Amino acid sequence: MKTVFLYCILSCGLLLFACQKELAGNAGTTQQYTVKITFQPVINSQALVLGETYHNSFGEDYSITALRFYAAHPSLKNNNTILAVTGETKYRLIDASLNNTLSFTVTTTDSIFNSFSFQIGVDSIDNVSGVQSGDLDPGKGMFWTWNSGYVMAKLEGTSSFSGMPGHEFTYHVGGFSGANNSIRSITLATQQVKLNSNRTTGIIVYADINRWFSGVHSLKISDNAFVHSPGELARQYADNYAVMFSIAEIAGE
Amino acid sequence: MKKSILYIAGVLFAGLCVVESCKKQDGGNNALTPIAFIIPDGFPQPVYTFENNQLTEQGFQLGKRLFYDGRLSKDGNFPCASCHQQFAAFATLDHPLSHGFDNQFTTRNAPGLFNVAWMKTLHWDGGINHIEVQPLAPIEAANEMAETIDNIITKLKADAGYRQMFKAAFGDEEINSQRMLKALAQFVAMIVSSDSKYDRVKKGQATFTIAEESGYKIFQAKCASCHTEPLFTDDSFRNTGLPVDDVLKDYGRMRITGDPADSLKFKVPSLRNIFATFPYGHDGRFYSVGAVIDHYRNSVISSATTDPLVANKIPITDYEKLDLLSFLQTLTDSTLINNTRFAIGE
Ligand code: HEC
Ligand code: HEC
Repeated sequence: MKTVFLYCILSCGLLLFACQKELAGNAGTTQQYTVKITFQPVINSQALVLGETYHNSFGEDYSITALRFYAAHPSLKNNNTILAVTGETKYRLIDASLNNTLSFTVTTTDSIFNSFSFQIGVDSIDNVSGVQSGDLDPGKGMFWTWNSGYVMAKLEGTSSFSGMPGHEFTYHVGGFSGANNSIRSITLATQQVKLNSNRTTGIIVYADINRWFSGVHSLKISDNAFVHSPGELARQYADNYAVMFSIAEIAGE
Repeated sequence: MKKSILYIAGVLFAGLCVVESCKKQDGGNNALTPIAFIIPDGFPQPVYTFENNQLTEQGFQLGKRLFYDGRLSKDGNFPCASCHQQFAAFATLDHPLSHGFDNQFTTRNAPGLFNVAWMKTLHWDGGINHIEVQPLAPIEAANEMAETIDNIITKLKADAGYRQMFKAAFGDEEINSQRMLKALAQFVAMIVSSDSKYDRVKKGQATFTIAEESGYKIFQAKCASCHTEPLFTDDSFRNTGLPVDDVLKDYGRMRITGDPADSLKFKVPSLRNIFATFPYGHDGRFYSVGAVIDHYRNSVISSATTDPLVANKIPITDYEKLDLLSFLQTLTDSTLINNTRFAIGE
C-alpha cells in the first residue's frame, strides 16, 4: 500500500519535473561556450556615424539616417560540421541607431569553428503565415502593408546626387519568392578558432555601407534614389549588401 | 485488486499533475469559449484555418470591438466599419471610392467583406497574402485610417476595458500588434455568407422563379468560369477590358508582380450580395449591375491582357439581361446583413 502511494507521489514529481525541464531547455552538464556577435556598420573601416557626410566609390556624397536589416539563423561551422548553436532567436533586427540591437550572444557545445554564417532576410514562410511578433512585429516598420512581405534591409539618407524631394534616398529591399527573392545567405570564413569555456569570445562583423552602392553591381545614387518594391533593382541591392560583411576581429573578452 | 485500482488512480493523478503544471506555463487558466468555424454545405475548405489563432468567443468579441472602434484611425473617425458597413454586406454603400482621413478618398472601391476566409489573396490586386496582416494596409494608409500600429497599441493599452478583453482572449493583459491583428482576423473570417435564396434553392428549401431559373442558366453559361459557384469567384486575376482611369492609373495586379502580363488584371469579385454593395468595379465606376452587364455586352476593350472569355464581348440579349439580373438578386443574403452577431453593440 504505502509503496504504491509513494510510487505515485514519486512519478507525479518526476513527470512534473519532466515537463518543466522540457520548457526550460536542456541545460545539461556538457561544456558551454559563449560567443558574442556584434554587427558594426562601418564606412572605410570607421564606425558609421549617422548624419556624417561620406563618399561612395563614384564620388557621390551621402549621409545615412537609417540602416536596418534582419539577421537570421546565425550559425558557426567547423568545415562542414554545423555547431549546435542555441540562445539566439531566429531573427534579429539590426538597427544602426540602436546600439543594443547590434550585439547578441549564442552558446554552443562545440569549441572549434572556422566560419560564421547567417542570413539577411526573413524566411519566405514567415512572409506568408500571418502576423508575427518580436522583431518581426509589423509595428517595427519593416513590413510592406500594401504588398505583404518584409523589408529585409533598408538604407535611408540624403545625397546631393539624389533627384528625390529633399535629396533623400530610400532603399527598401524585399521580396521573398521566385525571381524576386532577396534573401541572402552569408558565410564568413576565418582561421580555425578554439573557444574557451571560461570566457566569452567576441566576433566583430563589419558591415561596410559603401558596398550597398558597389558590392557586385554598380548602383549610383544619381541613377536610383528609390527602391520600394521587390524586383530586379531590389535584388541587385541585395546582391550588393550581401558582400558588405567581413569579420574584423575575433577575440576573447 | 485494490492495489491495482490504487495504482491506476495514482497514474491518473500523476497525469493530472503534468497537465496542471504544463497549463500554468501557458499563462493562465481563464476559460476560453472555443467556437467552431462551420463550412457551409458545398463550400470548399477555407484557406484560413485559424492556425495559431484559436477561434474563441472572447477573440471574436475583441475583434468586433476593434472593427467598430474609431481609435484605430488617427482622428477617431474612420474605424473599419466606416468603410465596411453591415447593411451593405460590409462594403461602402453608394460611394465609388470611400472617404478616409483628412477628406481624402481611397483609390479603390471597398469590397464587401464575407467569405474572406476562402481568399488566397486579399485586395483587388491580391497584394495582401494573409487575412491577419490585411488591416495593416488601411491602418497605415494616409488616405484611410492614417494611424500607426504603435500609436494604436498605446491607445488600447490605456483603456482598462481593452486590457480586460485582451486578457479574456489571450490569457493576460498584454496588448500587442499580433494579438490585435489575430482578434480582427477572427471577426472578419467569421463573416460568412451562405444563406441567400440561391443557397436555399440549392438545399431544396426554396425554388427559383422562371426568370431566376433562366438567369441561372445564362449565368452558368456566360459568367461562371470566372464567378465560379459556390463562392461566385474563382479567386483569379483577370482583365475584363475596362479602360484604365486616367487619373487613378491603376494597373491592378501588375503593381504587385511587376509583370506586364498582369497589366489591368483585378481579382474576380464574388457576386454574392451584389445588390447590396453598389457601386461596382475596382474603382466603383459602375452605378448598377445592369451597367456592368452592358460593359460585357458592348464596351469590352481588347488588349494584350484582356481575358479571352470576354475579349470578343459576351453576347447577351435584353431579355437575357433581365433574367440575369433576376438571378443575381437571389444572391442577397439578408441573414448576414441583419445578423446582430456582427452588429455594433451586441
Ligand atoms: C477608408 C476606408 C476603409 C477603411 C477604414 C478600411 N477599409 Fe478595408 N477596404 C477598403 C478598400 C478601398 C478596400 C479595397 C483595397 C484594394 O483592393 O486595394 C478594402 C479591402 C479590405 C479587405 C479585402 C477584401 C477583399 O475582397 O479582398 C478586407 C478583409 C478589409 N478591407 C478589412 C478591413 C479591416 C479589418 C479594416 C479595419 C482595420 C478596414 N478594412 C478598414 C476600404 C477601407
Ligand atoms: C473573364 C472572367 C469574367 C467573366 C467571364 C465575367 N466576369 Fe464579372 N468580373 C470579373 C472581374 C475580374 C471583375 C472585376 C473587374 C474590375 O473592376 O476590374 C468582375 C466584376 C463584375 C461585377 C462587379 C462586381 C463588384 O463587386 O464590383 C459584376 C456585377 C460582374 N462582374 C458580373 C458578371 C456577369 C453577370 C458576368 C456574365 C455575363 C460576368 N461578370 C462575367 C471577371 C469576369
